[in-house]
Amino acid sequence: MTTPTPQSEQLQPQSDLAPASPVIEFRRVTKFYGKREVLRDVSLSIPQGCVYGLLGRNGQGKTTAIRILLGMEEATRGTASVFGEDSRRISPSTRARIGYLPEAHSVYGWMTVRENGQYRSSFFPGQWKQTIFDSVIAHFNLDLTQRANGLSRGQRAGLCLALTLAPEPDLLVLDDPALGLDPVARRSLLQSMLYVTRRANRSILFSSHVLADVERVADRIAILDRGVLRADCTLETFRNQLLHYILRFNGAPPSSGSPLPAFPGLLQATRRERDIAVTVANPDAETEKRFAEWGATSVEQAELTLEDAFIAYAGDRGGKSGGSLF
Amino acid sequence: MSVSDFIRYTHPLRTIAMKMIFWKEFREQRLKVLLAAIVLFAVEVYGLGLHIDLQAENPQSFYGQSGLLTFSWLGCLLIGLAMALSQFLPEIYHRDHWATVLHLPVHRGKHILQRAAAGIFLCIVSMGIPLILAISLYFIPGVIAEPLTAKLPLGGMTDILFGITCYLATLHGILSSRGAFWRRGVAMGVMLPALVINVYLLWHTRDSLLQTAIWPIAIILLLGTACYGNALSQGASDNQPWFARAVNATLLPIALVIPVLLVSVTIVVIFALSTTHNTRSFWQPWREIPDYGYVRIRQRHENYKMKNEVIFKADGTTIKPTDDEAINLALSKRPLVIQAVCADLLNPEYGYNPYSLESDGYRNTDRYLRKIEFTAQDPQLLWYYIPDGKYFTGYDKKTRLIMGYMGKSGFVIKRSEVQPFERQDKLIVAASRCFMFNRFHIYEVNLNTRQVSLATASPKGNIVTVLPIYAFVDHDNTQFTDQYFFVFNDRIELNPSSTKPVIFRFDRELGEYRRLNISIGPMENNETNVYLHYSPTYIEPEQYYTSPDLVDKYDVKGVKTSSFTIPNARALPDELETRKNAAIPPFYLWASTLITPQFIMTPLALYRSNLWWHSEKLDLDDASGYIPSDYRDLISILLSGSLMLALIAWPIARRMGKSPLHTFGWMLNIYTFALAGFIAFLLSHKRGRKARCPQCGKNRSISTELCPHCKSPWPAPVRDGSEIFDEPATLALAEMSPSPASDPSQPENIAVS
Repeated sequence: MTTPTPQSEQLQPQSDLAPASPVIEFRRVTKFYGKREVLRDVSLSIPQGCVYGLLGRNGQGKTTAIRILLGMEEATRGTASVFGEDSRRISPSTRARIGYLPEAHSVYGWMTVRENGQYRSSFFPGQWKQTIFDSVIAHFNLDLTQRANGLSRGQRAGLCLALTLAPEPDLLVLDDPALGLDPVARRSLLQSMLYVTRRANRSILFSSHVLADVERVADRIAILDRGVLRADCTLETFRNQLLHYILRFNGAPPSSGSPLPAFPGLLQATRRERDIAVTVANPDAETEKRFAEWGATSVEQAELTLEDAFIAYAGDRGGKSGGSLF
Repeated sequence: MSVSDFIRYTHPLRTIAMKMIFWKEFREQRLKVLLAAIVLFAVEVYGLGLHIDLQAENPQSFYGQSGLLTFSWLGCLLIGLAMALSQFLPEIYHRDHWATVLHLPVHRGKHILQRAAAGIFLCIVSMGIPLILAISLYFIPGVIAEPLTAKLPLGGMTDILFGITCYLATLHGILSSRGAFWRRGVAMGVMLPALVINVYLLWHTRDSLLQTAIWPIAIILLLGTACYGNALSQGASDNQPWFARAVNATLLPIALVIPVLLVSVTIVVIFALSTTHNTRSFWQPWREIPDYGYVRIRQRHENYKMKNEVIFKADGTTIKPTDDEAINLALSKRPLVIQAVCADLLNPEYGYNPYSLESDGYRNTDRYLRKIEFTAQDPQLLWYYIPDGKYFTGYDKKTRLIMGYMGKSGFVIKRSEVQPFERQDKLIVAASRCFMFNRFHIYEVNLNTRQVSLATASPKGNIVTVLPIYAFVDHDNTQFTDQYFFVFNDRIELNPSSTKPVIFRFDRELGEYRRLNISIGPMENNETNVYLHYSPTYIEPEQYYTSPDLVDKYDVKGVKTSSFTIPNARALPDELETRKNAAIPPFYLWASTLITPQFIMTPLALYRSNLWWHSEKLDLDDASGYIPSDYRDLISILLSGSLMLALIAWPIARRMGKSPLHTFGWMLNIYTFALAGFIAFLLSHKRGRKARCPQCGKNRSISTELCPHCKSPWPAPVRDGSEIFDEPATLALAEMSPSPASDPSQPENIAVS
């Protein structure tokens, strides 16, 4: 039995692949639950061979989008398709090409690990790769004879991942796979995920709110904020387009009592003793002019980690919510 | 699953997945199945009455006992219900688990069908094992007194089929719930044929359908209707062609009919009839008559004290039989109690019901003769008899071997030698004698002496019935005697076993009367008096007061000794009159008429109003177009109730945007099906949430792209300048529209913390 040795260096930059017909496509998808609008006009196109991270805070619509994509919910408006098929009518053969791992890591608890594999494999005749199943099981140090009820959360996630990967799907849809896992289990899960990305042209869509996970595996990210798609770009673009500035003033910065005028792209402004820290999306030449209008005597660009960038981007923003949150 | 899919469907057992599904379901449900089987067997044994039987010297248990049959079908229904819930509900309400199931790479319908097949198998196991065990009791000597015939397991199998139908109905209900995201109607497609087969089997085996089958059918239809309506309301028929939508719109009301009808009947029974004074149409009050003090006309089934008994005095006032005045009256004047031996000769179905040899269904417990009465006199034989088609079959209760047959020619050993009775013969049995009769002859069958004799014959075919005679014991009890009346359409013969029967001739024109009671009066000078009691009105609570009843009194030699009139009770006190008129409260009547489908209720009302019904036995033309005023009122109320619902539907349908023709069609539907049609009308149209259009300000559905009023699309999300899109997502970026709030030239103020 070979334990997978996932190494990110072995990965090919998937975004460099020639653009093909999209594997996943959302077209103006809107979803209401009663009076609550959980998705609004989401349009997204995911090409083949791409590892896509669907980001957003809890309750922003990530799971709903995935469920609509796989035909488990119906969009109020708009359409979604996968492998060119309408999500509401995905054929069994297409489903066989899609590996889906829901966030709850559901398995039949009364079955043993082996029985879970045997049961699932019966639905994939000729497609099931027992070696992959065994490899992932071994990677998570699972006992094949143990009942799933007795597994820890991380082990159960490993079993679910094994069940998902064994049919060698062309598209992997993972709904917050690391939810509730400790760092070690999360790392194991990620390694397994990286292992499967070695197969050419395999696409992965996974949702998460853990930036470190995304940074390790994703080629592109999409960020949902209150059901609206706010970003759809490569990680590099995201980093480049999100800048953090330290504005220094002669004397104290403007009082918090008098609001500073907002401008497009301004995400966050934090007043400190002698300066203001500002995070801006899509900065341009106009941005520094506006800083000057505020009275800043010097503007320094600071390093921004991806996590900080995400928090600044996906956090509460006054401009979007209509309230003054800064 | 469409029909073509079903035809192409691979047999499930051929697939690996099917084997695994069976394995999985069996492992998952095995303990529950075992428990269900044990419980069902226990209650079936209890229903067989073995705990009582074991104390008896001779076995008395038989598979047609009502306790066994009741527990059997009820248990099967509950097992079917529980199996479906246990199999699917935990998964469906565990969202991610169900998502994994739905995502399996198989046709969803096929997958559910496979699991349903496994569930049905488990149902059969859990219901079938108790059935087999119950039948196996036959092989334990001295437990079951009944011979084993091929027909006996059929009833149990029908119960199993009911259980399976209930399983499928529940399954369909679960899968149609919103959480299941399932609208394919697979289970419905299986459930309905199962239901039809079930009903056919019940009918074919001549079961008492209404008593045993109506509630299971109602439960199943209720479940089916609920989920069907749920599926339609979720837009299940949205993508179907117009004819499929029309079928849906028609099926739903039909599916609603029986449950709704049951609800309506329940409402009437609970609220209307329970508040009705004198609900039993046969019941007649005591009445004071000048010569006898007072008279009470008793019926066969009134062998118990009735509540609220009153005596109507000649002056119109009422007293209770227990009042001092009534007791003094009884002491001073001898009361006459007319004990009716047949409630209504002109309408014999209201009288003593003879058995039909044809009613030999599994559930018909009456096919087992009252063996105790016969065998008790001759304990050595210990026989009992089962009318088996056209002759009796005699069994030894201990060995359960066939000992012989009894036909018109008497007892024979060989079946080939038995001379069968006529197919239309009926059996009347009470006390220790029994008779087989039809219009042309009456045979007396003596099961103890194994002899059959022709009691009388009527070449003209004017025999009406044979009536057992009760002995009046005390105020509240009667018992059978060994005497019978032979009733012809012109006379009655008493004591027919004697060489010279006593004949009581009808001295009145029967066509003028709606009802004729034959009664035994109190003993006078140690002689029994016979009363022929003619009632000119049909018996209904509000009708029998309209004219006096006529009574002819005969002595035991058949000589009419006197006639008297039982005065009518028109002089009711105002209070009672009001109470009588308010017997059926208008509110409940309206409630029941609003929910009762017209296509059932109107014919029923017409039927009950005697338009289509007349006595066949005496060949009298009494279908004289008599419609009591109540029913005329009832019909009119029924019509107006449905009409009201149909009228309410008009503005609703128009507001939904339906054409006048479409609206009219729905009104017709609602008028026919009453509330069921109305509910179907509301359910079959998906009514999504509406929101105010940002362009024109009018309400529009959130599920449509364009506003039906101003044709504008929904606005794109507001941009605030922080959106980050690079090349491949230009589509998304292009579709986002700038908004005044996000216009860079008009920046918002922002507070700094």
